[in-house]
Amino acid sequence: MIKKSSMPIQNQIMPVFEVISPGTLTTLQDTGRFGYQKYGITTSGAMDIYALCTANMLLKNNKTFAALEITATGFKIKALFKTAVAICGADLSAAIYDSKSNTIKKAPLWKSFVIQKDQVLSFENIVGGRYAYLAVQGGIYVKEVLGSKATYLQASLGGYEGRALKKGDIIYAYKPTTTYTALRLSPKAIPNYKNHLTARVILGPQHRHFTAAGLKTFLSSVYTVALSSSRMGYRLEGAKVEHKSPYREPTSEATAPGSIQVPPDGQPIILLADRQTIGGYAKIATVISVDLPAVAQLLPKSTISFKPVSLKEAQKLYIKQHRFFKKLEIAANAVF
Amino acid sequence: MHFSYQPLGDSAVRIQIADKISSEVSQIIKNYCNLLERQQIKGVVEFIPAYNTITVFYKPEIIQYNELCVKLKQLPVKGSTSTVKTDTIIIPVIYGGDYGPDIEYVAYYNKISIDEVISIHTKPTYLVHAVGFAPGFPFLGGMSKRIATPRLKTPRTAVPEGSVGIAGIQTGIYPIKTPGGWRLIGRTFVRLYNPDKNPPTLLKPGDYVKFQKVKKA
Repeated sequence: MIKKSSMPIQNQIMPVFEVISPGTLTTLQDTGRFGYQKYGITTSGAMDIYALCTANMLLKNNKTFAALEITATGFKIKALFKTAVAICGADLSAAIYDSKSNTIKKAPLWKSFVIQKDQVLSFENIVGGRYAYLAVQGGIYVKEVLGSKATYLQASLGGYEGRALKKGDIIYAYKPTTTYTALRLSPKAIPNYKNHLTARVILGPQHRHFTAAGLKTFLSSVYTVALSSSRMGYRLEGAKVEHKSPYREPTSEATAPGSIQVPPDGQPIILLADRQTIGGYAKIATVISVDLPAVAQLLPKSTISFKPVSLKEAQKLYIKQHRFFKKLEIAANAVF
Repeated sequence: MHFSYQPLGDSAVRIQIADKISSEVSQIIKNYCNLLERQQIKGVVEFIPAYNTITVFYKPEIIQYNELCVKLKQLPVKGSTSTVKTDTIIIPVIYGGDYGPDIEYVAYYNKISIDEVISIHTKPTYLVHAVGFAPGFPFLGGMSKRIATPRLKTPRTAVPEGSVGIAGIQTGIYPIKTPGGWRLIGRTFVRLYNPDKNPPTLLKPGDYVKFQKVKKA
């Protein structure tokens, strides 16, 4: 944890990486920006909160710290100092190149490790999953905007001047206040990203806008994640979910992360980290919190189907995960 | 007062205040939000007011659905207390020309003159029912049906910041450059979104807005 200090910020931070190549899309994300949704400013934050929090905890960071969210291929950085890091989430075949010995080795996943000065960390190709998180011991530093370091690209807000990383950017981190220990996540806690997912949902609140057949279609069909999916939401393609006739547009109201809205064309859209705060399409269901990371990790052309659960069950799972994180935090900070 | 409560996923509750939209309903929503702000129920993260709903986001590890609903139902929400009008925010708009490329179409579609479009648009005091879609984008209520015009068939790829538009019976202002399909009738240089300020937006739900015609200097 960073202690509040009267020290000037430049004495508390240090440059750790230089961006050699920004890759497809790399942004700084934390667990999100809260309190401004009533002004139309969405929460943003990591698409996969589980991977982000885990990466931080493997470095004894506060789990909410900002980390780099990397997707697809081509991200490459050079270490400016010896730095402890952890990569969690998608396997983008990260590799460490050492120019002195001219050797290359695979970077570990779900495990903290040290990268030496001048070594190059690169993300080569997609093996499984969509978003990888690179956390740095001490936490990545940028100035907070509205209480968060998360990047909201559409509003040019947060992160690195509200944009994705570009070549030449220098990444700063807080100087670590904890001792480094190599930690790894227990294999049974490591998610296995497949190309099909059954996501659990809570029905409603506008499931009555759909016919019984429409609801049945939604719960029994396999949908494909469209290419046009983004941090805002994943468009799905498949069997048309039938609205009641005549089509009646609901009054615009709040959406939640995981809300599944169905426009008149009957093709569902799952709203994610950069979703619009208010929407005007009927929401048939909402993906439960603990299943959102797995949804976010679906690559385009993967498939998804939905299974209803009760609110009680969803909150039980939520609390179970919260307790697991607490235990992990305690365990990480207990080792020296 | 009787409101209906429904879960929106496992971390939010949707409160429906009324079936219809009206300035009275908006006043109740405003009072409800003020109470939420003041009471600081433990576990409540934030809330989003809209036309006839309020959605409250919470942390299930601190408070769960049933317990939260009980607490929400205990809030002493009052109705429209003789609708005390807050200050009206004046938005100066340069109508037509390059700034409002669709104003001729709006006039043509409604079989009126451009001057009539402007006088109809500047007449009402609009209520901000909600802020959303994009940062600071106001959902305004109260536009006359006489200038209602359908959206563009193909949205523009970039609508300039400050554009004032019409979509059906709605009117609004684009706070940031974004793709959009509303008919553009003018532009304002008032900044609606500034992330360096807190709150970051000029307009809040419950505010009143009036448009004022100005000339390009």
